[in-house]
Amino acid sequence: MSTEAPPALSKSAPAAAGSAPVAGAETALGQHYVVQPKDVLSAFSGKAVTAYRAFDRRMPTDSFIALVCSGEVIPRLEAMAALRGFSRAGMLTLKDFGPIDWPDGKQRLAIIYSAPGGGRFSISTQHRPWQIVDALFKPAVSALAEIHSHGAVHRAIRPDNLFLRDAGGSTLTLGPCVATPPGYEQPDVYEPLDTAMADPAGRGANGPKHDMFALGMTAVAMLLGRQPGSEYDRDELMIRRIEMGSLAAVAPPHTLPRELVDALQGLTSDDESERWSLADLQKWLNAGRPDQPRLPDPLRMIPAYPIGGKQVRTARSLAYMLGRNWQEAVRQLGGDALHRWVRDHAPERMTPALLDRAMVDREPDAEAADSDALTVTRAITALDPEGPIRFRGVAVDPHALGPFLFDAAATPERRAAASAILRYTLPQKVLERRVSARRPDRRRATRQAINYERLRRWVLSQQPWEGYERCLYDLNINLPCLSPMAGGRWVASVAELIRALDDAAASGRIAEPSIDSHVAAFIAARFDASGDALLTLMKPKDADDDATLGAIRLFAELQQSYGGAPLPGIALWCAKLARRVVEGFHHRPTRQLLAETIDRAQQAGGIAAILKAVDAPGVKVRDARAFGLAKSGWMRLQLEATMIERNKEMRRERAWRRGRDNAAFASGAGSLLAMFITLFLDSAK
Amino acid sequence: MNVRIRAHHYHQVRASGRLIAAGVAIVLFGLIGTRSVEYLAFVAIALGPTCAAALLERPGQRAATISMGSMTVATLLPLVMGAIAGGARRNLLTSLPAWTFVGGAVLGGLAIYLLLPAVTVWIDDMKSSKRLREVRDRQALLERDWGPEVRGEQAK
Repeated sequence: MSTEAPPALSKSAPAAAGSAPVAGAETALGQHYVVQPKDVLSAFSGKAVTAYRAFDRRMPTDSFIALVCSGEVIPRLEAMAALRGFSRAGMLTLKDFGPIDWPDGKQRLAIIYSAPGGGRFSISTQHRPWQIVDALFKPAVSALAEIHSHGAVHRAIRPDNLFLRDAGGSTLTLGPCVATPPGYEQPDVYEPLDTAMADPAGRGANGPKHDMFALGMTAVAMLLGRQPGSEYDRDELMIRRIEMGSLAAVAPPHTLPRELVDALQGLTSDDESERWSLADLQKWLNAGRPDQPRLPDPLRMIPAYPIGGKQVRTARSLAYMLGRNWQEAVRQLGGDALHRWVRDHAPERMTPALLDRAMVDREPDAEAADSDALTVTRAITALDPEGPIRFRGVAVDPHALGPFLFDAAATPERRAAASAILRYTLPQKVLERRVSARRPDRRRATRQAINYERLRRWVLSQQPWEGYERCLYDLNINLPCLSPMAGGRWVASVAELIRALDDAAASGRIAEPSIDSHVAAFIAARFDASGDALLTLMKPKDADDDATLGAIRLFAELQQSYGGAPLPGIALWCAKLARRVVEGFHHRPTRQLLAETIDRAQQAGGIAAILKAVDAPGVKVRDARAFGLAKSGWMRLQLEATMIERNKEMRRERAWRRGRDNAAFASGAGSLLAMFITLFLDSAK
Repeated sequence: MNVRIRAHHYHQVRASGRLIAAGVAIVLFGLIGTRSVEYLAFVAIALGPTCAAALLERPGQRAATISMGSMTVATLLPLVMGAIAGGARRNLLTSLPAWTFVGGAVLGGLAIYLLLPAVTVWIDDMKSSKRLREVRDRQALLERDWGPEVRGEQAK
């Protein structure tokens, strides 16, 4: 048994580090674990993770590894939660996980594992059967029993993910498995046929028996002292595995040691129903004799069909090559040769009829550009109903759409293919064809069909909060919000998103209330938000008052739902939105009053108070009605003023005439006065 | 038809009024004449401006006649009655104070006739200006509370 150079894991972590605050070059996970970003442990690093030295403040002498995810793939948070803290021989203990602040100013997900005593295992020499039993099978059974008991699967069992438990020892321990999607880093040969054909991100967790297959193939690798099937290219190896069986394709059974051949055949059976379970392996380890799987039928001597530079002899291997060369498949399916070969030589009896039906079936709503690719997909499904969905060169297990969609989003062509897979409900169609997926549980089947139909509706939707992103967040329940608005933080819940948005708004980084399609889809998927409210937040200037109020209400509900802590940043946004609503009020004193209320609520960070200020029922209607009355009143006054000004001459003339007419009456009073004056003055003489 | 009946009725009433006034005047003049012809002449001369106004004014619009006449009559009555009551010894025709009173009455009547319309116009102007100010103030109040949009189309 050989190992790579042990990772330079010193057992003498800084003594003072346990109580010391985190230094500038270090970053902490929770209260206890400190990660040292400058200390890379390349022996533990993988395609999508980098390992760093870590230590526990409580136990500074113990060594830990921090696997820091790059963000290129989705880590398995549900598996992390299931496995945290459990320790068994044969597995590395997952101590803790969570986002950590990284020196680049962003947050990354870190997973803390206890460090193995020895280094990484490598297969430079052949191993004896007893070594495999003692060093691999026994500790692996213990570890898998623990892992499977928590409803999780490992899905990363391969020789280069095995570590020596103790320095100088020979017992192996399974390496980390949760930092990448299931089977993501597995070479094809360690995957059962159905998932080996799928893209790395589209393999899915499947079940414990996938771990058993990987364990069996890892044992084969240890026996051979090299990667099984390394002498073949990928397609050649897959065709051999399909046609001969996975074990026979890489190691003819007669070359395997007799004491191990039963276990290896049982573990690497391509028929999942016959593959050994963990209990079977335990039984075998205890000198029992579990049922042996049927050996694959010997390949008949039939003419091979040439495709993609390879020769295939079964419908399934033909399906594999059609999927790998879909553009050539279009041409070949259009001709007679392939159909004739399937009819005359394919060993599978029902295949010709299924293929003929696949060729005449049509997708009613298919775009012309997708027509050929869909025909190839239907043909592949007819030839290999148990295989993954294959469409335009991508292959994904129907149950592994979440990580696959995330992975495909990075490449426009793959993203388009992934969208089309959802649009044409290919997962549902593939599952309907699978014999293994036909279960009597009608309710579950209906629910599954509804889910795929919902995904189809979302991916076709032009609504900003739906589309591809909505599918992404719906299928990956632990996926953090990928929006740049999250500021590089690991935002895994709506509460965290709200805090991130609040910080962004409070810092002025995002001055105007706005969200992008990722935030909208994230909120829609994680919180039952109304579409109009999300649309308002995406295009606030186009929103009417009701929609704007809906957006404020959404934030108010979010604030209340997550503790009601003041959110000054989002309050600033909501205040801006509320002011737009207030500007719609006609009554200036009301506007002023509301603006003052909004200002006060904004300063207090209370979104509910902002909402309450502008969302009083009936106020808007009353304002509009009163404005109508005021308008008519103003017009009436204007008319009166105009009449006063315009009729001035006529009015004066009337007044003049009235005065003249009244002179007679006035003179009556004057007469009385004159009479008394005369009487008084004249009599006085 | 109703209008015609009403106009006819109006002319009848006016004619009756004139007859009664003429009758009263003749009776009064007769009574005064029985006491003193001089007094009758005084009254006749004093009513001269009134008669002139009556001649100048159009029928139905004899505001000046009425004003001057009523004032003159109201002045003549105490003078003539006083003189008669005093034994008709006072010579009113040559009495400067009497003519002063009569002249004052005539001028007073004329003043009423001339100034009252102007005063009425002035008062009416004042009332209109006040009302206009009130209207503008109320409009300004509405604009302050509801903004220039309250003007409707005029705001544009």
